[in-house]
Amino acid sequence: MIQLEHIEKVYRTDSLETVALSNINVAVQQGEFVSIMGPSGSGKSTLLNMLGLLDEPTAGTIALHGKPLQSFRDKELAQVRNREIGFIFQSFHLISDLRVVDNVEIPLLYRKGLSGSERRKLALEALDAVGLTSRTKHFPTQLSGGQQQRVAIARAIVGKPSLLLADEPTGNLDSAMSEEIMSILHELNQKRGTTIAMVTHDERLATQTDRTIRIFDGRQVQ
Amino acid sequence: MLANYLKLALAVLRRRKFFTFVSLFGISFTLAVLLVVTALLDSIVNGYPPETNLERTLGVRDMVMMSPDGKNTWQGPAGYGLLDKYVRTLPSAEKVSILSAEAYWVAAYKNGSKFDVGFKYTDGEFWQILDFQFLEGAAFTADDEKNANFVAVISKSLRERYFGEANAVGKTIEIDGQRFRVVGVVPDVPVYRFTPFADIWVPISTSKSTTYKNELMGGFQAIILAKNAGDFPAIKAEFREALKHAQFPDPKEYNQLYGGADTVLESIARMMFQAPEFDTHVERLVAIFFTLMLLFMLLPAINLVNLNVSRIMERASEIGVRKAFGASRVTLVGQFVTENLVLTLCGGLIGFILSIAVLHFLNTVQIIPYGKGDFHINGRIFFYGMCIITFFGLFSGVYPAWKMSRLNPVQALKGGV
Amino acid sequence: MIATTAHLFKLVWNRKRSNALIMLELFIAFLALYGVTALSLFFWSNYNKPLGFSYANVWQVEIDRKEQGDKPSAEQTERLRRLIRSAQTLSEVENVTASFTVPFSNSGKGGNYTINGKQLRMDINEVTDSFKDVMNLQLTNGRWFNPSDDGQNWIPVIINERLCAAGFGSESPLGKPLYKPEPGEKERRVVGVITDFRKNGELPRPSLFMAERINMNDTASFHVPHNLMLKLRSGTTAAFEETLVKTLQATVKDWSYRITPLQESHDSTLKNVMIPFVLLGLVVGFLLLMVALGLVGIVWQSVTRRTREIGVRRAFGATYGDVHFFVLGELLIITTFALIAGVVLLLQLPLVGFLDLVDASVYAASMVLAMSIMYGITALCGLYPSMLASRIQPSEALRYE
Repeated sequence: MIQLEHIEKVYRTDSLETVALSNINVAVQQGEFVSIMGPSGSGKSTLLNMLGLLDEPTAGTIALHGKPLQSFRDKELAQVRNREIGFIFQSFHLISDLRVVDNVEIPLLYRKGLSGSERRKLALEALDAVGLTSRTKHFPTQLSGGQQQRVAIARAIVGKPSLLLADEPTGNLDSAMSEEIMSILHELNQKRGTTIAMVTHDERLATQTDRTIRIFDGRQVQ
Repeated sequence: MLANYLKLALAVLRRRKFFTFVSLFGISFTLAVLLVVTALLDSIVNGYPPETNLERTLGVRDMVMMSPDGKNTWQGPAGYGLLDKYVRTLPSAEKVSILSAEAYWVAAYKNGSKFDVGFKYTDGEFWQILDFQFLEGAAFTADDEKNANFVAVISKSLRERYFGEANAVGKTIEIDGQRFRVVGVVPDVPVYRFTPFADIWVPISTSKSTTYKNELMGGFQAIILAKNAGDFPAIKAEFREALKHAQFPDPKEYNQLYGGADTVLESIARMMFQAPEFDTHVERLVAIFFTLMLLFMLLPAINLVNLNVSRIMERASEIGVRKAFGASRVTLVGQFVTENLVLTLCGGLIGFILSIAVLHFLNTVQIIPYGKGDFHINGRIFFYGMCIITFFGLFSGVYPAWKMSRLNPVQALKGGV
Repeated sequence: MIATTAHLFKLVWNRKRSNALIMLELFIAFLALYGVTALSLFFWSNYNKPLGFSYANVWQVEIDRKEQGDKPSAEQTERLRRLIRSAQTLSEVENVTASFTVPFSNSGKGGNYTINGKQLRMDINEVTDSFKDVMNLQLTNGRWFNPSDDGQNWIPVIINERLCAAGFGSESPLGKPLYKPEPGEKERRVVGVITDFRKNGELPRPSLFMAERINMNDTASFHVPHNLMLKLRSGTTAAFEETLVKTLQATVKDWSYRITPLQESHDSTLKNVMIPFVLLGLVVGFLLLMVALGLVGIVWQSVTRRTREIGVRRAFGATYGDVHFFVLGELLIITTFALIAGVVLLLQLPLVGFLDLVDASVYAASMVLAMSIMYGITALCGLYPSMLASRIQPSEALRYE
């Protein structure tokens, strides 16, 4: 469903040129659960940003559902992200001044034609899917790490995106919580058919996925 | 330790140029306004030449005369008759002078052009109580007043306008249809120094009518020179007693008199409140003044608090690191307070310079006709300014410092979202 | 838009603790600004209403009789008549009138009277028959004073339209007593209505006004006026002032005279109000500038601190515009909270009699104006930081874990 061809990414500062990615060719198929592995600084997060349309490549093409995205303007890209992609981050990135349900509603705010009650209904459904119906009125700081990450997953799936991008979703969690999160992701992949790309450096988690893309020093290893 | 604090403070302030600029702008503007107002009040309330004896001088200005039933009151300056009878005779007073309550503006014509002249009736004692530097000639005397001699002391600027640059003593000046022989010339008195101010001073007895002599109310004030300020309570008490036994021409119309021998501040309070009482409620005036000052300072202070809080939140992670490395609350608060103090002092310095510039401008530009100012910053005002700045610095620093010391290092490090 | 606005309200409300001081600052700034806008509109609306008289080529002669009180004596009346006659003989003088108070002076007489059950406060003047022509008053009903009023056992008065409307409504006041006289007091009977006589000038609020006729032949009932007013032929120069003073001094030498062209007193009255007003405006302007700059700093800092939050929103589909709106909107909502508090406070003003001082329209319009200015300032302050915020790249913002 998403295709990256000959991707180069170079970061330039005044004196320094850092190559983050070079000649990356990745295609993620509909319904796949792909893991991306590599040591820190290898460029796996940059690759995830490319997949999430958060960053533009220096060279190469990205195509979503066969449509190249180079010509898209910010507004169109934002719409694509909003409808097609959901994000999960290592440190959750919940907004601490918003209640759980309001955090989950955020992606729906940037979607036209939804009423307040519709948004609320979808948000509660998403929270139900991650098993957090009893915590909707809490603030994030009142929850455990695992619960926070479940809120973050609810936020990522509330807009029913076809692609879910997870950047070390269990990196800040203990193993019991990690298991919990992973089982939610597998369930989403299997029951809803959501495509998932997950960055991790935990070999054990990578083996649970359909396929692993390995990055080393900005290059694709396999 | 302190040197370290200072070095760090300067570094931080230089790094955050915008915040530093906004903070300095607020502090210096606020201080400049307050200092200008203080300097203006200071020149009115405190003794500057010719009022060099002000700290042992009292004045009788506004009085309230009241009818037996209290329904009718007559408020305003005292009359000559009352002052002559009840103030000149006060046993504890060293000298008493009676003069016009305020300068009348009369027109003088010379060579087809007209100019307004501040005109005041005074007596011989006036020139002894007040300390005028005569540019030429000398004051008129009690004898001139007794004999109704048509003599006058004029100001330097009146001499220039009326006679040109030449000497004036011995020449004749025509004002309000009367001709006076000039006996002395003195430097200009600023118009806001309302007791001594005039452009021409003449004996009271040259007045066109003599009815003023017996009046209880209207047109005059008295200044009382005491041996020292310690005699003030005695003088005040004697005058109050005298008023209680005052005689009225028609006791059915008016039979009560209220007033007092006041310092400048007290007489301003009396003028403002105009109550039929002996007390002036000067403390109320001071309270009003300080309330207004605080109200004016409120907005700049809150602005500074907000900026400071903002500055601290920006450095939350830095503070987190320092806390994690074991910096104590005291150190952190000390660092912040030093920073704020440096900032306030810099702002204060700019404020001082600004206020000196504004006062200089007020002194050179004629805002009031024929009245230039002689406002300036002196040690006393500098002291007030330092008090204001310290208060400002403390007020705006304490809350943010408290907030900073309570910052959770873990959260601060993460920065939250 | 509506969705995000509701969301922003929630966000600001949940952050009320850290926003409280900013709200307090805006609240105080709003009140200070209201003081200035209320005064400005008050002056502006008054300035645009007609004065009701003309002061061109009119000079005031203030007479100092060197005596307290104004109880008349036959001798003083005679002196006053002589002064008027001698002024009239001068060729530059078109007309002379005597009056108790004059335009553009601080002093004046006022009174509270019950008219048709309503307690009304009015300005009062006492004038001679030529006052109308000297001041060029506009009569809209009835007649002006004339010598036939001399022998009456009542005092004829002229009122302005405002007093007529307040006291008599749509009825004609002509021939009616203005108010019920006290025992032993002569009746004040309305003989005419003029448009207005705003003696305090353009800036103060127009007041109710009543003029009584001075009967120069009846020394028992009137106060000796302190002022003469002279209508001069156009083209008379300031040099005439000296001639005039000399003439008056030659006529009655015991009195003092002070001559002021009304143009001068008009200008200085205007200046006396405008200078403090401009100073107040400057101080409040500086305060607002300070608040505005502070706000830029605070919003800027808050954008920097919340880079990640903005990154998250961008990742979930917020456009440049959405982020712009998010930062600006949050600031405007904080302002809204502050303004609501301010308006609630200002709504108490009528309870303490504020509407007796200014018109309801000025009261309301200045509130709207002050609110608009506050919104304008805060929007302007948010513009630069919100632009910075919209430029935040989500990939950069979310990079550092």
